[in-house]
Amino acid sequence: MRDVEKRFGKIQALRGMTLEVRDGEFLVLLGPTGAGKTTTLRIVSGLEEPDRGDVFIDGVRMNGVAPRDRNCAFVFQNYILYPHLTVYDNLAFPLRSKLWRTEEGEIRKRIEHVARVLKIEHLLQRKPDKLSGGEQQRVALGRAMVRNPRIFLMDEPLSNLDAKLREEMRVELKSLQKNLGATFFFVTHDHVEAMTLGDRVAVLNQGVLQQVGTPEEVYEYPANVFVARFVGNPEMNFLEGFPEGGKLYLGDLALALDLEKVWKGREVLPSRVLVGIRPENILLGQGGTVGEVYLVEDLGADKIVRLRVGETLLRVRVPKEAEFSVGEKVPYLLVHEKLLFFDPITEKRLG
Amino acid sequence: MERVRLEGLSKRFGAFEAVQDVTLSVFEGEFVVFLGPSGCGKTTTLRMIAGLEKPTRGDIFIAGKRVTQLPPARRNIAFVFQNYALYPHMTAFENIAFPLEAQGVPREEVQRRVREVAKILGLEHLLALRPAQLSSGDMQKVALGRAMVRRPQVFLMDEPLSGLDAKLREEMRAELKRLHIEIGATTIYVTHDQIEAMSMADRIVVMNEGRIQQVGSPKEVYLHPENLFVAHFIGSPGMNFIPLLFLGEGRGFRLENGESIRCEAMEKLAMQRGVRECILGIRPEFLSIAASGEIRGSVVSVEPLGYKNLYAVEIAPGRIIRVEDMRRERFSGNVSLAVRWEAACLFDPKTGQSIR
Amino acid sequence: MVWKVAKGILIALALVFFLLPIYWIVATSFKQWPDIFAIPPKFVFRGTLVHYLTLFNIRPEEAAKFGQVGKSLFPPRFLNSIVIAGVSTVLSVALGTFSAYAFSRFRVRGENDLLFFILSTRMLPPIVVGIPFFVVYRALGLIDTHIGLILLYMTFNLSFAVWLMKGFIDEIPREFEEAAMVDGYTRFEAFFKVILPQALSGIAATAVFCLIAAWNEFFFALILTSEKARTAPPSIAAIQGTSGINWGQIAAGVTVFLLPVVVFTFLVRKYLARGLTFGVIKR
Repeated sequence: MRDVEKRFGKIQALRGMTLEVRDGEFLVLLGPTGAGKTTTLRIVSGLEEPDRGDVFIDGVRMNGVAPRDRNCAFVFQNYILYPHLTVYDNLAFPLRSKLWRTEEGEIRKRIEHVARVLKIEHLLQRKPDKLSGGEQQRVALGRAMVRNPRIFLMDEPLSNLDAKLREEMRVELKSLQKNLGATFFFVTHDHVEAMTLGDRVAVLNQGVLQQVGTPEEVYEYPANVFVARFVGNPEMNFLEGFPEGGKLYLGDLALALDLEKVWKGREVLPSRVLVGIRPENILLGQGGTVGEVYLVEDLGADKIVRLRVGETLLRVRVPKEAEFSVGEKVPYLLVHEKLLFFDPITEKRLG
Repeated sequence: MERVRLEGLSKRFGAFEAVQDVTLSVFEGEFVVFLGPSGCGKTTTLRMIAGLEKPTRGDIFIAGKRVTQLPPARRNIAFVFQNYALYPHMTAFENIAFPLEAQGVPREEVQRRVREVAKILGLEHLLALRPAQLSSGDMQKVALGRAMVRRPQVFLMDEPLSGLDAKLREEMRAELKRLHIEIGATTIYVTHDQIEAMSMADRIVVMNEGRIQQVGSPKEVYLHPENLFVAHFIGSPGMNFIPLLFLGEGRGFRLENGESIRCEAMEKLAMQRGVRECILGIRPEFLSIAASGEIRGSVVSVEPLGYKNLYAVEIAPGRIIRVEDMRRERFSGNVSLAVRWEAACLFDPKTGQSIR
Repeated sequence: MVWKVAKGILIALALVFFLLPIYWIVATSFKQWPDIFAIPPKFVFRGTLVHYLTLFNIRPEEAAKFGQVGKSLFPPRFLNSIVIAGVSTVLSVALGTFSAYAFSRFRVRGENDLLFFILSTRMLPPIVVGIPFFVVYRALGLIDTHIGLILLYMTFNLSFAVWLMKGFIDEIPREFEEAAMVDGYTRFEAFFKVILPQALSGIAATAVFCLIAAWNEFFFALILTSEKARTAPPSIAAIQGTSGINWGQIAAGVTVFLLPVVVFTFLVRKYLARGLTFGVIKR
């Protein structure tokens, strides 16, 4: 069994966090700035010691073990290539430490292999400041790869790249991880990156783990309001709902839905609930009630319509072929099966 | 009516040609977005319109008047900076009122106009606060208010949303667009974010390496890009490029994997233009995984986005293209892709220009 | 165009203003005895090496003509200067870099107080502590020893070195050594392999400042040394002949004295240019 498990309670940064990264898995830790993501990574690597709790790598307790003895590789956000060394020497750096002391012939062989995989063979004699952002990123990855670590820890490694390059590196990173069969523990604040890269996604907020699950689980069945809002673009719509006498009344929408059609859970709903619905689960041009088009945003592959109903603005995702003009009155329909219910006080999902 | 006109505008920094021969008209009430990667000359162009940078060649007209030689203050423009550029020692009210005071507008008039602007922006309750006490979204609104209060001929905005975090940026994007619908001010907006450009612009000016690549509505630049750069830059992910060899009308095109595909309209076009090698451009959402599609490949990775899946499919060694699929189930292994030909583009691989 | 010419003239004037004293000294060192006193000063003259030759006792027979008694003491004192300033600079920079690293990277208790305390040693005018130092040094037997002056200069320069180096090390992202530590190095190794090469420009700048301070120091050298460990500055001032001050030899001594600092600064100028633009090191 090769897994990392850690439990610790750092009063501010992290609270009672328990998380398991499985062997060969791509686990993404997602959260806003200051959520404690980087702290988590630094604790696993040993750059920071937990105040309480334990860290295990491959079942061995790692508390008090120096970073260099943990056999983790850390890829930093700003790459941290040594500017006074060539790319080759940067890649060789870990292998020339006393701990991993490798003879130069073997170093050369390994670097050539890594450089081939990452397509940086032509850059080996250059200095880092002569490389583009994407190339620097690859070299940083290469330095992590040369010594076959037990786990790759990555701290927002794509966030310094421009949008186009980030998309390309995403695919490369994912297939690299699959081909290496390596364990990746990846930190990001970008939910698209998290969804698209992760085998599983762990959502963290204010030092508290909110949910761990596959990207689909996190998107379709968020554990609470925070996860629902944080994952997805544009955000999920939230409405106040009042279940009463077999009907669900939705705040501003002046809409009464048959409760039994939208609520499949067994427990009785409280008298006030938060109802969440994703923008793609509202259909325009159908249904009996109407809203006014407030704004249309063309995103290319699809469009976002902001529909005004009373004082509420609903975000609705529509296909790009759909044409709406501002001020137009349009009927809309909520897809009943897709409504999610949250407790307004605890903000946890019901059912 | 024409509000701003640029004629053969060029700017050279030493040996570096930052902007080359930009000619463009911006009409009254229009929201025009300059879009391009960093270093493409979009900000330099904006700064020349504002008078913060002197053009090496060419002329600038604002409201029919040649302003090329005028200092910024006499051009009647407002400039919203990326980092807000608010004065930290003044309250939000004083910041907004600042340009009016410079013009010597009477006191009551200043009061009235600042309140009016604050109301539109929803800032009324924040007027007494200093910038340090405001959230980044509100700071940006104050900066906007300072621009609006003077009722300038044109608003110039330099990546005003890029300092905000993703969620807030989305909200401000919508608010800014709605504000434009309501007050209809002529706006020239610079960004490197193609989503911002697509969702806000009446017209997009795509720039690269100092030159205009294409000018058109979001729909035009998205569906009918004039060259490979525009096709790749717009859209997330960008357009797929598939090299083809034209075999002749009635025989179709040959793919890199040796198989051939047929499309009458494309064959006709290729015949007319006399091309042999060409590049097929097709956006991910116009490809779908089908039982009997035209292009075969194998799935490299699946990226779930929640409401759709984004596939990376290898269709020839090293040639990976992106495919969108709305179905919930995940496909893997060998698949075949159906092409919606009506949305396909053809490019000349030598010039990079669209063939139409 | 007019501007360019005006700028050129301005720069030329400034250069004349700043370089004139140096020219004067260098020229004097090559002038023959009567030319040194010529009024108006001679800009064209027949050069001579006699002052240098007597200064280094190569032609001692010439020395007597200028009223010099015995041998010139300049060579051993010049050597003292090199040893004392050199060793104290190396020590200040080395210790300063280590302590600066600690202040920069670790949470040191009372960090700000300590840093201020270190700096406060700099605020004292040296003349105030001159007498106490003399008394203490006499008690410890450090008067007129190399080690005594080395320790003293190191103490004075250390505060400066710590502050300067802290600024440079703060600029180097922490992740540099953290990356190395994860990659299998100890902190100590990471410091030498990664931080030190990055801090080279800072070290060069600090070393130049320390060297200049130690090299030029006059007051303590005058009161704490007499023979064995006396450095060049007090000794140049003391070059006198029986028939008045030997200006030619003083000028030669000063010129020779200028050289090491110029050479050293020239050697490290590559780093210096980067190092002197504090805080704008490109990341």
